[in-house]
Amino acid sequence: MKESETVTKPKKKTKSWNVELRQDWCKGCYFCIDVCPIEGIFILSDRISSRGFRIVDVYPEGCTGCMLCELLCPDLAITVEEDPPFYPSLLA
Amino acid sequence: MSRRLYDHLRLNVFPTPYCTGCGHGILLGAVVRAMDEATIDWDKTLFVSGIGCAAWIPSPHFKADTLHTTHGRPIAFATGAKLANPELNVVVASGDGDLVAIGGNHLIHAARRNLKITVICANNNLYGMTGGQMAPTTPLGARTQTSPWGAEEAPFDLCSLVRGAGGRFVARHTVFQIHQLIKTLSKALTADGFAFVEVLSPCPTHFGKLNKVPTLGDFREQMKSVYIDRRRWDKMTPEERCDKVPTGVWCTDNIPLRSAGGNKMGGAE
Amino acid sequence: MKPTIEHVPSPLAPGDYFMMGDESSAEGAIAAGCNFFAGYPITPASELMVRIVHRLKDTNGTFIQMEDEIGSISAMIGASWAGARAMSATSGPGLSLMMEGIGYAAMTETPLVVVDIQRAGPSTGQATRPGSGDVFQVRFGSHSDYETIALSPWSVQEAFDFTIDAFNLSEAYRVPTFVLADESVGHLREKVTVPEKIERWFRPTAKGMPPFDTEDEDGVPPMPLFGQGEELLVTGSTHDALGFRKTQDSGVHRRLVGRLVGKIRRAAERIARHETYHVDDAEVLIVAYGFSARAALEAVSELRQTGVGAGLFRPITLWPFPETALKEASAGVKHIVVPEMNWGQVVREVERILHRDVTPITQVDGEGMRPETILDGIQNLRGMKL
Repeated sequence: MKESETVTKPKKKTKSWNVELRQDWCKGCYFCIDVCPIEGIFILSDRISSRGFRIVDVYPEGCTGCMLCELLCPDLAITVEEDPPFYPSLLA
Repeated sequence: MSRRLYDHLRLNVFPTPYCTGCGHGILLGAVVRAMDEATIDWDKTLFVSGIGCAAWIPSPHFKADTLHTTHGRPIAFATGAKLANPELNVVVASGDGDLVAIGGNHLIHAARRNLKITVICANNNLYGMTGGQMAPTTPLGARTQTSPWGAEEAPFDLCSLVRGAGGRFVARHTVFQIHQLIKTLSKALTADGFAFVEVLSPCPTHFGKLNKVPTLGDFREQMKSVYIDRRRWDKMTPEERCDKVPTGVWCTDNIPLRSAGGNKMGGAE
Repeated sequence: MKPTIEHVPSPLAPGDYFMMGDESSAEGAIAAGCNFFAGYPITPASELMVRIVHRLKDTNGTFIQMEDEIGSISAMIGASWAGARAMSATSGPGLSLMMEGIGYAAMTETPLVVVDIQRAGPSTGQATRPGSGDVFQVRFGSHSDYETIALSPWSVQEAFDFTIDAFNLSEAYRVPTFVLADESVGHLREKVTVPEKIERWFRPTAKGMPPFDTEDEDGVPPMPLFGQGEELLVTGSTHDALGFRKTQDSGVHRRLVGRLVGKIRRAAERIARHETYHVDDAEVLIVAYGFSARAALEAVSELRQTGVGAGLFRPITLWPFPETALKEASAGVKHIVVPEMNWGQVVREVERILHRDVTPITQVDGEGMRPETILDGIQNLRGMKL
């Protein structure tokens, strides 16, 4: 493998998580902000969604994958998934 | 919800009709996950529900056979369907007013018969769809549209009611006890007889507004101090137990299951 | 879609039997393939339920005594959608309790049969005595618009035959169907001849087809069952072809309720049945049904003996009422009387259909219609000389 194709993501032990929030299903209860144990993942913005609710922005870095937001969202609007795993064989 | 489980839902009818912060949405997700956990065949499952907000949990959201009945009667309809085709997994999902007030008679008889169905009672302590009137589950002193100065009637203890009627598997959780709820629902779905699960599912729109718990977060705080897991509650003194309600599973499956006249109850003999 | 038709050997050995009306109706149900009964004890229909407990055990069917009549009608509907041929037997007060469920069955087009052994009312009334007070209840008892079919037997033989017919009609038209007997027939003992073969009609089915709308002339969609992977949506709310609730769409509501009513109205002439005696030269036409028709036939015979040209028109289906046949039978008739064991129910239909004066003869004393009542009533008619 050529030098320029080295994968830039650092090798790490902990998993990372992807958090997706469907704005078209969200009804603005903001319970996700309440239940999430990590600060800074769900941030209430001032923008309004097409359904008339304040949009919740999602910053997944730091998510521990506890799944509480996905389990407790009354609108099933949140999906929490493992980020694609890191394959050691791709390292130079 | 995890993408795999979306296969069981009619995505084109989402978002749900529920109000912002309605506990029934959380319960809807819990039922889907419990069905998955218990590996129930959706094609052989019939969801029966009455009239009210909770009755919209399965219909039209679930991709399974759904039977949306008259008010109070889902358990009676379910009795007919289960007896006529015992191969069906019959799950009743409906509200407290529907199952316990107008439908109370069918509830206690199905429990007595040990009919092999699962009954999920979404309890928001009032009649939500019609604007928030008092129900037999409204806590003493709580305000509703028909008890504006506080309810003067004591509510049922649903688990005791069903146990007293002969129900061998009864359980209670709040929607916030989400992990235990999913586990309990999956046990209820595979119980070998009548299984009843009461789920405290908040109504922020009516109950919340009238009783100063306007958001889901407020409900969670308030319920944490009232609804105590039975592993703790069982060890409490009577004074400590005052105004508290135990959650968990009460299962008396060591009593031989027998229904008079043979095996027509769709369950074990 | 049309029903499928089968001929099966009679579950009861063919031959002559001496039975009570209630029991004969139970045998008719078994002959029709009834395999689900949900009921509640009520005089004078309990004997039917007690007979059918044993017969369903013989035929491996399902019996459940529910906690009340509301539970019974509900269980029947659930069972019907799970594939059963479902039935109950009750009387006036129980039928009143079933009304919401009957409306639900009509709205969801659920085949089922209810045998109503009428008794003297209103309310608890005279539980052990006959009456014909439920004629309008079986047709208009529930709220809003829908149609039902009701057959009125006048003998124990007809209690057997019409129960089979009721099952077949309810399957063919996907509509709740009634056998409207009264206690006098329910508790009467007479000869019943059981045939060798029984004709059974089965609801139309077609996989993957919408269960709640059709372009077919007859207006009857195919009916799938639970457990076939069809992801059915059965609901009492206004719904579209697939069963999705459409409670804000005026077009869907108009089409659905129009079809529920139309499928029976358009087939009314085919469903309606009647019988006539001596109507060709009749000057006095007696329109009578059920037990009253037996007394009416006796009255016709006595009148004829005294030289009065009397005839009997007996509707067999009270709903749909045999309108065309009634118009034909009453052409040229001078007087029409309608004896009933109520304060005037079928007489209103007769008046509505014929647009002429009709004389009701009511006997509401908790007893079976007496021929004398009819003769006195006719005697009082203006201009009649007997």
